[in-house]
Amino acid sequence: MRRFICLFSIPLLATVLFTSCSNDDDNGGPEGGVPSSLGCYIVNQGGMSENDGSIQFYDYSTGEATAPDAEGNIFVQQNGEMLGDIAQDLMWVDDKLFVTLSGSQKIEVLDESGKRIRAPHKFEVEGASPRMMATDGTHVYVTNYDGIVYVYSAATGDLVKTIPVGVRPEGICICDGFLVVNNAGDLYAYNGSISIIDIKNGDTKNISMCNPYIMNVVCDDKVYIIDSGNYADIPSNIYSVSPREGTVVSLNISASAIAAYEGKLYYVNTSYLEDWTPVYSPLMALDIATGETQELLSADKMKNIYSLSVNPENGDIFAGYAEYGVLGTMRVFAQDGRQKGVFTVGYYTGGARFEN
Amino acid sequence: MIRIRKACLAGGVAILLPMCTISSQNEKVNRLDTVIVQAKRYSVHDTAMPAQILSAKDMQQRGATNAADALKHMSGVTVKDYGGIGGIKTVAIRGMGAQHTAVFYDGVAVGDCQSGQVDLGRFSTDNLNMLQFTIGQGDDIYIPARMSAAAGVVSMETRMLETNMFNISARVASFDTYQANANIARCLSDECKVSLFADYTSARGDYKFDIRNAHKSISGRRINSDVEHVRAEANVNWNIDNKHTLSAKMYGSFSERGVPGAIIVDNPLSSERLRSSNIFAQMFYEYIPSSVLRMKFTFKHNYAYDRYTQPLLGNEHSIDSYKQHETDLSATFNWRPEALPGFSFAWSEEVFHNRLNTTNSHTVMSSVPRRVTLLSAASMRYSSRYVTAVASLLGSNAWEWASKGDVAPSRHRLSPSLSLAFYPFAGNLTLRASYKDIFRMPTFNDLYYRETGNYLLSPEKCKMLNLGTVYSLSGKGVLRDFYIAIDGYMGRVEDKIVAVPGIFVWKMNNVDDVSLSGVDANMMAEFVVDATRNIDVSASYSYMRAVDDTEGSAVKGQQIVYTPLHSGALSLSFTGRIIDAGYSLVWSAERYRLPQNIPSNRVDGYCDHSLWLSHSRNFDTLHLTAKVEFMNIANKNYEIIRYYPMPGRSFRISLHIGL
Repeated sequence: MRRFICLFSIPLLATVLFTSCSNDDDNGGPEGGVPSSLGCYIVNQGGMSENDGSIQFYDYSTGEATAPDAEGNIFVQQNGEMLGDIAQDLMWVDDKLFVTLSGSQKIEVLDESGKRIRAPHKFEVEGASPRMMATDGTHVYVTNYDGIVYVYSAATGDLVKTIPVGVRPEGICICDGFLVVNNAGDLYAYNGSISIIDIKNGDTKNISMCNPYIMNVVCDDKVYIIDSGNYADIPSNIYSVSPREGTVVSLNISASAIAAYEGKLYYVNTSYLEDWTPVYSPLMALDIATGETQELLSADKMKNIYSLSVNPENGDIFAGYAEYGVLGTMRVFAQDGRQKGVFTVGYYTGGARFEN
Repeated sequence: MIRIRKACLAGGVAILLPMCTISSQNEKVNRLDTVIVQAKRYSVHDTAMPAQILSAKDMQQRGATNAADALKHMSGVTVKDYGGIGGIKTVAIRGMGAQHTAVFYDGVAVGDCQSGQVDLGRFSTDNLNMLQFTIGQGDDIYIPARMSAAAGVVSMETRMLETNMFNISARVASFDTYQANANIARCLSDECKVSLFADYTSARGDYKFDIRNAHKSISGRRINSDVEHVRAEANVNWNIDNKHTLSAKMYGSFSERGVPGAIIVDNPLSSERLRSSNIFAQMFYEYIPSSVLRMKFTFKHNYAYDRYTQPLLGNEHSIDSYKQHETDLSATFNWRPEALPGFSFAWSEEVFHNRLNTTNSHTVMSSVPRRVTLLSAASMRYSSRYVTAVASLLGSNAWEWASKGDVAPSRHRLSPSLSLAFYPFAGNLTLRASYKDIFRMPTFNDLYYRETGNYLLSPEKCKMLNLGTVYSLSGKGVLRDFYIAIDGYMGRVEDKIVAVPGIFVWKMNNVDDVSLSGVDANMMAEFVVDATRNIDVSASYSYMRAVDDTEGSAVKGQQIVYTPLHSGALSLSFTGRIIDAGYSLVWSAERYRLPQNIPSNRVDGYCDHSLWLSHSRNFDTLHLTAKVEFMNIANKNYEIIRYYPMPGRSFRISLHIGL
């Protein structure tokens, strides 16, 4: 009898997944002119060489998201083909979506429904993989493993110019008129750096680090980054960067994901026991002004945490969870820790992206 | 047909067989002084553990040019084939993972301490006499301990030509594939025989493909899939006298190939390269002091070098080099006391040392790991007209060292195995049952790969219970030989080693359990039309339910990755006066590329149909065979592994000359 139930649980599970997480009437994301109060987009990296990248739209009012999988997400529904390999980042600027596909070595420019509005930018050079993005509303800045930040017009998607930075640039943000870029450095060399670029005149300052990764958030007039350390004797650490002064200060806080909202820095850490059983910390909030910390979500709610995002309009926390080979889960928490929503996301979700 | 007619029978084959230690059928076949190999096929009808054997002719009839292709025709086997001539081909048994499959070449283990997997695509069938696949270690207890230390064994026996023969083969195939090999054997004396085999393969491998991309398709031509491979081996077999046998083998394999990788949406680039060298020397010595006692000793030193080049940026590349050294010594003793008729006892000790060096730009491994493994196997066998029973106990001990950093703890474990075959009518029907408890050590990649390796990993354990029946008959009518075997099994894999996602890096851990159950079925029939014409039919079918059984898992109860619920193969061949012809089919139901059994993870099932025609003619002492084959005649770029399309329709023309 148990086996009988199991046999039927497979299609049942699949049915539940797709009926609860997708809107069958949708042919994609919402049509143009979507107000940011309506919802947000989810970008899912997918597994390496699995062509599993996907994007979703999460509707705040219904609490439902579009289909998460690589063959059913809004890009496929609008364009008939898969998005590509490793959807690393999504930037929602005005009525356009810029999506970086690291494995497919391209940048897709879409409308808000997920429809391709121009031919993708393809790099077609070994080692050149577009990674993370930032925008000032006029331009979209894209880091690329070829050591260059590519600058695109937010209005047309055309390439405007390029800015050389360090080795393997990852995270990027704009703060106080400066671009701050995390350069991860040579593979396994832990010789990373931060490039601080004055957008007006192009002046660049480089600061040596260990292994700054994709986490790079702005809070007031500072940028907060995670340096991942060397996964051995140098632990991960949060640094505060003052772009104008060109200084970096350690916060002496180990973290694996950060987000910022109204003067508070949210962080969570995954550490490992000697047998590499993961240990998850609670989600903490650091008041930048006072230095006080507060537990927002308990550690049991952080198990399998893979991404962290905060809605800039209301402070809702989007916590993305990943397990090997299993569609992920996104939980939405209010500032008081109350769970407001939960939905299925794609493989290895990069988190929620809000309108800029 | 295997015909061993001359005096070389007692010398060559008698020497070779014990070295090969392939004797699932019956221990008496291994008895040196009475070897008589007359059967057209190797009989496996009375074994207590499931065994399947393909002879050289069987492999030819199935169009198998390498061992992995041949294994696709066996039940209970899942071949992971990354496509093309150079694509890696690994074999997993009954859903247990490729690391649980031990591979033996002429009786000595082929190991890979880094990945734990052996690429069976690199073993050409051209010089194979026999390929055997056994669940457990088979019924023969006179085997090296390492043969008992795996859930299943793939064993290859190379071909020993008859006296002073010379064979040469040339092959031309689609996608600029060229292959040539030569095999020569010389009897230096009545007791001593030497043989040489050399094989060269070159292929561009740039086949067209067209695979599904949601509602559209991705099409193009495979690039960076070229291969150049040279292989040679030399064998000496010296039957010193009735009590002493000595044989030795030198083997060298050198290849340079592209690593085309998966088809990536909108990214056609591929420039990873792999240069591999494998050199080994192995020796075998057997001493039979009396009719009740025999012993054999093997030695092997294996050196494997892989140079992996991958792109960094633009035209820059990084080079990762891996050097593996393995030294293996075994001693096996067999005692058949006259006072206990039917009983046979065996003891085997095997020790091997593995070392992995990496010299590269990225320091892929965290250290230079070394491992010494000591295996001790004690076995007992009883056989009579009505029953064969085998019990064995394997003790495994492993100690490790690393040049720096943390090192895995030493491990010690006992693994029992039991099997029973019952012949109720003392003839054609066999009822059998077997149980095996075994494990596999974490590989050096699992333990020491930089950042992801976990030195505290536990071994993966597995248990397997098998119940089956075999019916066979031989007659003199139209149906000359018939054989059918059906086995049902249940098993479990615990502490499966998988990579667990993390935000920064993924970590290897023991997290999954897998529940296994299924049915394997095999049949073979030979119909004799007249003295010169006959028809061979063989078929295999597997029902394999291998589901995640991890407590709390989101995919509990779902079929594990790349394991079809149903799969099978069929082979039909006709031997005529002028023309021989055949058809073969390899078939698999859908599979899932990721643990979650949802539609977007489904990999379509496939059927691969092949046809062949051959003609043989004798000119005095010269024997000539020409063969033409048409592979994948349905022209489907099916994917065994998603995004690794297989070649479409292709042809192959072979010419074989024997002197």
